[in-house]
Amino acid sequence: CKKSFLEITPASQIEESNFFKTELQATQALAGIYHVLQWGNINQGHTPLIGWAEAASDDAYSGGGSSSDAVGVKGIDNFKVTATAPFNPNDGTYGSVWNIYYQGIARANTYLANIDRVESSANFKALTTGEAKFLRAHFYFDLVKWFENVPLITKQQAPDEYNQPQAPPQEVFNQIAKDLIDAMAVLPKTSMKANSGRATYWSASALLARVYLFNKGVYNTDLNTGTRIIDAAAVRTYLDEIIAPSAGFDLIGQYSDIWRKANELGIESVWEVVHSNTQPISGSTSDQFRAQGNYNVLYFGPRGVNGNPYTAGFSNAIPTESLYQAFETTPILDPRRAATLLVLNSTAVAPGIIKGWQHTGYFNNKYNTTSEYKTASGLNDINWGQNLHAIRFSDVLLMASELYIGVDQTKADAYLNRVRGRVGLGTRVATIDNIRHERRVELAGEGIRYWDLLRYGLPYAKQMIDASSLIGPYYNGTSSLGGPVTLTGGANTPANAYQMDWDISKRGRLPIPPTQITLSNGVLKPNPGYN
Amino acid sequence: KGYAQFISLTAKNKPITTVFSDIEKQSGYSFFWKGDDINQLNVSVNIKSASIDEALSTLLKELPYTYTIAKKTIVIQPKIRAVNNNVLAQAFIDVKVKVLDTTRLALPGANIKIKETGKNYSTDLNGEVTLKQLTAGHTLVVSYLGFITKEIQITEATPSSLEIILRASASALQEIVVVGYGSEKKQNLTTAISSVQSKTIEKLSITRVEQALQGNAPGVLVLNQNGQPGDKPMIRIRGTGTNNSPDPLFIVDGFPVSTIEYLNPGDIERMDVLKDAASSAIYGARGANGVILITTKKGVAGKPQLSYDGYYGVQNTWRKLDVLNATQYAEMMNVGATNANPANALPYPNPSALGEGTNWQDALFQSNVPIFDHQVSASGGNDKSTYLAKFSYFGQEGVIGGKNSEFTRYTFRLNVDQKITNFLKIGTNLNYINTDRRAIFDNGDQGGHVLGNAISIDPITPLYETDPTKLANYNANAVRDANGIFGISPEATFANPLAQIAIINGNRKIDKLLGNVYAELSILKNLKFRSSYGMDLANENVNSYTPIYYLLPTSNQTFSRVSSNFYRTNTWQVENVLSYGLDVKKHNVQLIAGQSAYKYFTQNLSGARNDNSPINPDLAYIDVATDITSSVNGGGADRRTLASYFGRFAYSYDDKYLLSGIIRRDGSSRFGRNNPYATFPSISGGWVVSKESFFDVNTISFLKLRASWGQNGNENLGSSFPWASTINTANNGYTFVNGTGAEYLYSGASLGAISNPDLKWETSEQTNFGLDINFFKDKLSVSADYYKKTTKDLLIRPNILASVGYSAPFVNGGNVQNKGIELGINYNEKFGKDWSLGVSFNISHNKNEVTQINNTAKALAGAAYISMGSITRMSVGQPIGYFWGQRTSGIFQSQAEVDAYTFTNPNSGAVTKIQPNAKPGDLKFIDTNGDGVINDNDRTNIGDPNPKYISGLTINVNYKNFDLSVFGIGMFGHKVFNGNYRFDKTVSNMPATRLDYWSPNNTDAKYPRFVSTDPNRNYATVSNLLLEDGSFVRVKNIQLGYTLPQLLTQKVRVNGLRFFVAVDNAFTLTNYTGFDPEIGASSPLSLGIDRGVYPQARTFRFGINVKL
Repeated sequence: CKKSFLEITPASQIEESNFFKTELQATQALAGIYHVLQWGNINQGHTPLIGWAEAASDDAYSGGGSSSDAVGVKGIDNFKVTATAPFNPNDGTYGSVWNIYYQGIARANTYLANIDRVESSANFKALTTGEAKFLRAHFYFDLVKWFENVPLITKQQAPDEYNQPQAPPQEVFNQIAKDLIDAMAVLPKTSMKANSGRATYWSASALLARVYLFNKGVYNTDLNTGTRIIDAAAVRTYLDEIIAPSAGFDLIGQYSDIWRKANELGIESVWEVVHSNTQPISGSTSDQFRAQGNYNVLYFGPRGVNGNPYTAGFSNAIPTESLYQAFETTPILDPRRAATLLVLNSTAVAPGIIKGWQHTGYFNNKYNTTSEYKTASGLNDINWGQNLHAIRFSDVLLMASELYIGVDQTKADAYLNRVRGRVGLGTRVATIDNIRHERRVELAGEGIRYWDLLRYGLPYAKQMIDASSLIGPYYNGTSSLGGPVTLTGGANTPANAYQMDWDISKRGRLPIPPTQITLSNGVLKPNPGYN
Repeated sequence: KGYAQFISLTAKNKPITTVFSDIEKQSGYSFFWKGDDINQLNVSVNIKSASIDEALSTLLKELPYTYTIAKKTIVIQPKIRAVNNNVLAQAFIDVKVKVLDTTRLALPGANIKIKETGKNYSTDLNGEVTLKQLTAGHTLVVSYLGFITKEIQITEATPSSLEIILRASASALQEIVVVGYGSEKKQNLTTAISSVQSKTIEKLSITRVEQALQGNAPGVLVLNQNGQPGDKPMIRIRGTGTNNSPDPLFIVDGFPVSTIEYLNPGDIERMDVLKDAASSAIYGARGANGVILITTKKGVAGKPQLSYDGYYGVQNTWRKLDVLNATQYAEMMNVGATNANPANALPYPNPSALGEGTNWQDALFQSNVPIFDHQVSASGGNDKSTYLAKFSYFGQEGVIGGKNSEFTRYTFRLNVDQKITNFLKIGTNLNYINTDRRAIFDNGDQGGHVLGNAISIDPITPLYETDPTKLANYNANAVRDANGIFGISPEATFANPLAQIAIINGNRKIDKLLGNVYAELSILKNLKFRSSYGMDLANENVNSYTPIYYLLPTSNQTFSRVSSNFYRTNTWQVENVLSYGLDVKKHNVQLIAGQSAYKYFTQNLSGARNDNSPINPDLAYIDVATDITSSVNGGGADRRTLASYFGRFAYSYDDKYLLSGIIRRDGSSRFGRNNPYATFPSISGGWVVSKESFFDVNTISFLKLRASWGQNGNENLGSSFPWASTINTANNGYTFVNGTGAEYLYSGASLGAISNPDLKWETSEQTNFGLDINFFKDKLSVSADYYKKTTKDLLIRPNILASVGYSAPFVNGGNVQNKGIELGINYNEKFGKDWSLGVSFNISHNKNEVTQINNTAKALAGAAYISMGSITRMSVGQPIGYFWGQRTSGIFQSQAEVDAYTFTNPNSGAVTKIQPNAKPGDLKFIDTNGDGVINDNDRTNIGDPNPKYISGLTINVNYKNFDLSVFGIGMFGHKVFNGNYRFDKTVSNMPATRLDYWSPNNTDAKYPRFVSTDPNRNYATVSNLLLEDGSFVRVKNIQLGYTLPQLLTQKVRVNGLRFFVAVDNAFTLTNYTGFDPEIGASSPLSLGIDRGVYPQARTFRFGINVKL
């Protein structure tokens, strides 16, 4: 027999060697990388990624149904075992976080390794290569923020290359910068909407600014792509480009309108992850990674409510009293408080609501289970259609303001006050403290605060997180402030579950999953504080 | 009267026979001649006073005849003379032969081979055949299955009519065993092959082919997975060697078939099981789990024969489980509630008022359920062609579900062999099969099946609800039949099993055309070329219809749904084999070399649609359903190929020293691209000690020692492309937007897994030592084998680092070892004229051990049981698929015992209770790893589901025209997980034995206390409490037959007429308390889990065998 008799390929599936041939296939593979952005839950690990960052910060407690519900996220309240929060580095959820990003990275690496095989125009290859690199940078940035010490894998691996040691964080940051610079060289300078919702030049440069600030804050170094140094000046230039009217970005007039459907991919959206309820799927929450929905919505959603106007969620990442009190109240009440915090403190306000763990009466009002994004069919849990506003124009203004302090104070003040002006607040001088305050209240509930805390320094982070041990008036028990006690049913949270005592020795990072350390035969080392 | 010394005669154009007569008259000699030719010969002759020699010489001078004179007889024979090529023509004689057994019964179909010419004859219905053109010096080899072959030398003195009497062979030494691409005399076998013949199969009335091997082939474990009609039994040859498919390879008439469901057992002439690697190496990469060669019946030359074999039987369940009645159930629920919390209100304040309640099993099991089989065959032929045509119709309903659990099979077979010329023979086997199966559930179901519900549902709920106040609250879609509305349990946990059956509508139909054709060319003496083409075309259609129904709050449907699946599978195989045999003096050499190519392709199409109103189940086609928006469809395809080369040599010297070797090279599309080919060798040898001159033991008539070694593989690696990475496009896309911001989903793609182009077959290596010994002139024969079989490179999916970002590839990484011994004993004896006895017994032992698993855990998770997760496992140092659970050590008798069961932390010295939640009456779990807590880390091997010993016994007794056979099997030393009861649901009914639960008044109880909340997890934990000894002995079949005397039947022109009565599954001896101790499994890691195995029926049959 001829050799070809045996060399058959699967009949009704496409085999790897037959893929990456056409532009259509390449676009599918690219969509497959984008798809990983939408994952918040792998196999019931319940890891909505901005939700976790919220829970870790001083803006939210971990929440959930009870002391035993989703204990992985409970652990990151304090990063240590407390009377009410078990912290087990073996918790499989941490492995899920690790998995999500490495799957995205692997898809991007596969794309970059195979794009040359595709029969298409050079332009297509260049453009999509830029997108793949942008996405890889996005995944690595989240990964290195959560785990700090991670293997840096930038190509398709052969089996004998699987077991890679962790790279110094700086190498990972430099690779992220390099990918973003490469992406900026090819991505279009258009709005995301004009670019079909795909990453743009602006998405990449804004992300680079965010990466710069985090790296600078935590490690006090500039980024080095190998061919150039990305320093503050360079980042200021990129931010100014975005702020320039010619780029087309602006603040949406009404702050609370930012999270309305009509403003998705709007003038304030520099980088946004698209979610949709138009292609609902059924199944269970473990099918979330197959869907187009935004799992954070379910995660933040109030527990027990019966669908009007909110659908029952998991009541995780419960906003803190500390956040509530951070908003300015004089001379006027910052309207962002109402836009950020949903106060559901009685069944009169929210029929059916029951207390979750660490109930405060507050819920995230930016991402919530409102009917606006609900699916018409399929499983509600996994099909919430609200986009994730990953980098908003106001964030760009505040980053720029921060970087212009002492360099061009006029500009710094102008950028800060453009943000304040939108919500009718008076002007302030752009100082580091004022900008930290402004970032907290402007970006609360968007998964940004925690990373800001870490870049402001671990002692600062500890101080703020510990300071969030405020039970608040709507706590359904003994309240330090007193207040209405109107809910029955659900979890009775002991007061010490609100008590934060952040373990600074963990550096705010997740444990390297012990199963991975075992599989690596010790090539992977535990993170500091986890030995 | 004197005779003239000299002969004188004159003739002109007279028949030569007239001349002979004249000479006879004159000389007193008599003539003898052969052949019609002479009769037609006219001669002219003129002889005067010649001697007899002169006269004959003159007469025959110009004729092609010569003469010899012996005593007073003159024999006229064709002249031996030089023809063109100096080949001597000889005198030919024709001999009419009749072959008989020692009781002078004719043996139709006996084979007679002319050794020198290789010509074959077979005897007709009267045991007769005329052999043509024999010459002195020819040797006739007369053989008949089950008889000792006889050789007869033809001499000039051989009369024209010959009776040959064959002696029955007590041993089966003369039996011809099929070895794959050829056959071998059993006495010359050097490998381990077990055979089962039609006469055994016909007695058993088996419904599927696999069952023929149960108890009849040592080392072959056959377990029915279920008593449901048409269900596939499990076969393991010499233990389970793999975590992948452990099924053997079935080869029917040379063609490999993926499923044997289609084959009518009545079509089988013989089954040969290649057990050791040395024999199965001829099937190379597919031989690792053993090979079962099936030869179908063929026609025999002789008078056409028409026969009918059939039976009709009734089936009844042989066992029901003793579960609690309504009063007992209510009392038990009360106990459970009180134990959970003494303050609880009693769920059933007045148990005795409930009486016996509903006996669900009585309602479920049907009695006298029919089973029948009809087989009609016609066969016949002559020395040039033979044919067999056969039709069969088999039907069986289930003891549960009746027509909803039904299997019917029609088969048509035509086997034809035709000699075209002396050197060319062709033949064909054609088989059309139609099967139809309706099934209600399987052992594989995870709870919720009909039988399980019948055991678990409370006995208080009535079969039909008649209480109008309750009916008023019933859901409108509650299931009903002609007798009323089925009761719904208020516990809302278990469905009414009869209601469940009522909503089942579906079947699986298969039409299959299976055939092969061959041509065999005799190129030279002893050199043959055979080319064959086989194909298997199957169309399968699976339909189901679910009406609108309401069984439970969790099990209901407000629309009806029709679904349909079509599969078309096409397989072909081409083979070319060259075979050469050489027989010089005492040396015998057999060689074969061949090539094979195989291709499989299957395609399927499926669809389903809903309707908001009920549909007539008989017209439940998709088009009938009206809800177009609910339409779904799917379809796919699969394919694979195999290309092979093989060779075998066999050498024997004087049938005393035997040596054989095989090599096969297989290429498979399933192997990774870097390993397309695999080579498998084997070698085996034998020494027939009893043939040695020094061997002088009177009682031992035959003694052979055998040894073999070989390698083969398991190419059945799960999917068709286990090495490949396929692109996953389902639900993998991203939402983009168009210019107006409208969202659209763009289909995405990613690699499904990492590919592994190095992936290869599993290799199985086996060493076998065997002994065949016969005593008392072969009346008693014993065969023993020892084997050691190691399967290497098992296919596993290891855990790989998550940073790789994709699912792990399949890799070769695991070893399993099986060691065992097998013993077979046969005894045959005649007592006087009327009695005969045959006994055959076999027993085998196998020990299985997993020796390597290359993943971090050194273990693979096994099968799951409802809420308990994996209850079996495969790990290094343990038997494959062992039960993985907690060991218990009795029941806590007092709180003091609970408190005393503590753990002292070696570092801190702190003392903690190991089972803090336990109360008196709860199970004490052993802290196996000594860490002070009971959790999964304490789970260990609590039982082995693989039988230690399997055994079979057949006894045949004949007295005059009566025949009686008894067949039984036994399996010993294994555990069964009795999962008939739903331990995870506190409202589940339970076995009556559970009444022996612990209480302060019954401290010697078998079972722990019953607590509805089960805080100590007495029943939610996989423990030895749930395992039972699975050993059993079962009399599978008893059959009594009577054959009418031939004198009687021949008057009505019937050649044979036999009636029989039989009972199947007559008795079962077992301590196992589930429905049936025979519990097979579809996968290697789920053996011995009884999730409610449908019991095998006890069947009474009456049958008839007629030969015209």
